[in-house]
Amino acid sequence: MKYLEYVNSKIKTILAEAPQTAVYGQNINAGSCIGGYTRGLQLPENGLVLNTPNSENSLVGVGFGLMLSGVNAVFFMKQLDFLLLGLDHIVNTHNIVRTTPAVAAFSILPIIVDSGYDGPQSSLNTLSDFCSISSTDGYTLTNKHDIDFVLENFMLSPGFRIIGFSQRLIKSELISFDEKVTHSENGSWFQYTYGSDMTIACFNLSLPQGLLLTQALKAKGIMVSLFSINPVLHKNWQPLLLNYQNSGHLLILDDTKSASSPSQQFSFEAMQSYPHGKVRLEKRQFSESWFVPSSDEFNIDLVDISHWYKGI
Amino acid sequence: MTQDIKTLAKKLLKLRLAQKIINEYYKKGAFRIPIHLAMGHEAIAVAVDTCAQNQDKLLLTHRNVHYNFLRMSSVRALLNEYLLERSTSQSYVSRGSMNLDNPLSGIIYTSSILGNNLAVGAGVALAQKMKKNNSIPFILTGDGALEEGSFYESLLFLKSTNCPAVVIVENNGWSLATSISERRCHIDLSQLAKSLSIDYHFLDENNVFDYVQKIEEFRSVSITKNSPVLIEVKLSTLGHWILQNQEHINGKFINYHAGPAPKVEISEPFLIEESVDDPVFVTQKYFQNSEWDQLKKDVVNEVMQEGLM
Repeated sequence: MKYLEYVNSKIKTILAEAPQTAVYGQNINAGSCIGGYTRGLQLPENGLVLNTPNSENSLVGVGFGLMLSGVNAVFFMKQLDFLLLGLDHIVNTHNIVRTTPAVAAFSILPIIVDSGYDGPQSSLNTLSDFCSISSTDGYTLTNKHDIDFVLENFMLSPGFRIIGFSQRLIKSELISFDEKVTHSENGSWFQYTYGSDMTIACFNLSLPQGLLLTQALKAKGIMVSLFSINPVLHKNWQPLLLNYQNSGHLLILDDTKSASSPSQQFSFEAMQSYPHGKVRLEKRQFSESWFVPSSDEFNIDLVDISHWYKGI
Repeated sequence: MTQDIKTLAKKLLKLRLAQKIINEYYKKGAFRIPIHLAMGHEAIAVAVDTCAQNQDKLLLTHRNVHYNFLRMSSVRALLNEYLLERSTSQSYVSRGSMNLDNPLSGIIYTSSILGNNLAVGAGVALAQKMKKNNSIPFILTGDGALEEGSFYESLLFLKSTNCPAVVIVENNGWSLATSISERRCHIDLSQLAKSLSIDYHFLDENNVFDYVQKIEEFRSVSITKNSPVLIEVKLSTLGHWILQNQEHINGKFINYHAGPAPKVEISEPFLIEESVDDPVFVTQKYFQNSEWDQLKKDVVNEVMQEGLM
């Protein structure tokens, strides 16, 4: 099953039984249905699926109005950069609304343009920037397990959050793990493999790169503990830091183009927690190519990583 | 009319007196927070407060003292909010002035960001439509917010989703220290509303009794037609003064925006101007002198019972 098909199927299943909920966005029930993400949505009788005008700023405010009134709001958005128009609400309105107990959910579900073919719009591929400026929980979903956990537990739970999907993964086979996947209660991290030689922590949407590397390193006899990390407000990185202290090698992957990312803070905390280990952050470096259409791959050099591990 | 004219006049007088008391505290430097008084806005506030039904919601702006006071009806409670010494408020948390709300009494949301509450109000309107509870939001805004994209976007959303709502523009002609003509071209709201097939109404002259009848009617039509209505209310925010110094030998008009109004005195507890700009002046004309004096006395007594005069 493809990533897109699974996300669509999961969303449909959850919304089919949702307590009073308004699901809305541009073209969510018309045309391509946001590239297929929202095709076939059906809600119980007291719910609503609404194609909206192109007014992103107000549509974010509408979500908070619904939430304040006790109606769940789910706003699907074709591109994360559209959310820039709603920054006033995700910061200022959220800051007002959050001081009273939430009685309903407001979730914004954008597609993060993490492939490079949209040119300038692809230069904004970082969900954590939005989460940081608004002190909001965010989730970047890359595989069956985080899709299941985050959508089932948070999409309709009282409060506000942003749940991002990958544009690059749309047509890819769904990533799924055979081993038991563990995670923190609030979804701040997920662990997929349990090797003792190296810890790999993947930020934003870099889990596919982390998985490829994990498999390649395994072939070389290097066993990896593979994690993904979400930009949630109450982060609990302790289990990852302990894992690093045991492995002695921490590789951090971050495909974001933001100059400021939680991966840098994580890197700093890891070095402080265990100065005797080796920490390496693989992050994109600024390039003028971000602003023109390109394949824009986030590639990790396996040989280089192997040498780093072996201290060559 | 749901309330008799004496009740409405008393509400209006008490609202004016409350603001004058707050103004006196302000002059003495009692507040650490910014407060935007709304002297001159009393007629529309009393009308909205009177016409809003149980399940209706109010969404306010930074200048919200008039609506909040009418729901509290206690000068002491409002002062406590502004002094950050909360004891009687029904809000969940301290909000100061510019974001003061009161969800339990229907003031569901207040924002100090220009135009911000319009979109939230549109969401409230959609929720109320989904709940089928025959209620609507009253969304208050000012002439400054007309310049924000969210004003247009929110009207568009309300109309596109067939949501009843009463959107009220308190047009005082000023944004901070610039008048409309100093900052932008004219906006013909009636034409803007027409372009969206939204009913538009213009109110002026601060007649609270007339306003109540009309707001009741507009609310009802909005619900019946499943459509927002846009109401522009021409008013003046009272409290201006003339600055005279070496730079302005002939005097410079200073519009009241926020903070204390230095020339407004509590020695006259109610009236500020003998003009149609002052709702107190307009309301007074509906009463015999003795009736009017009694009403004022009753209001002063009520406030005195709170130990404030």
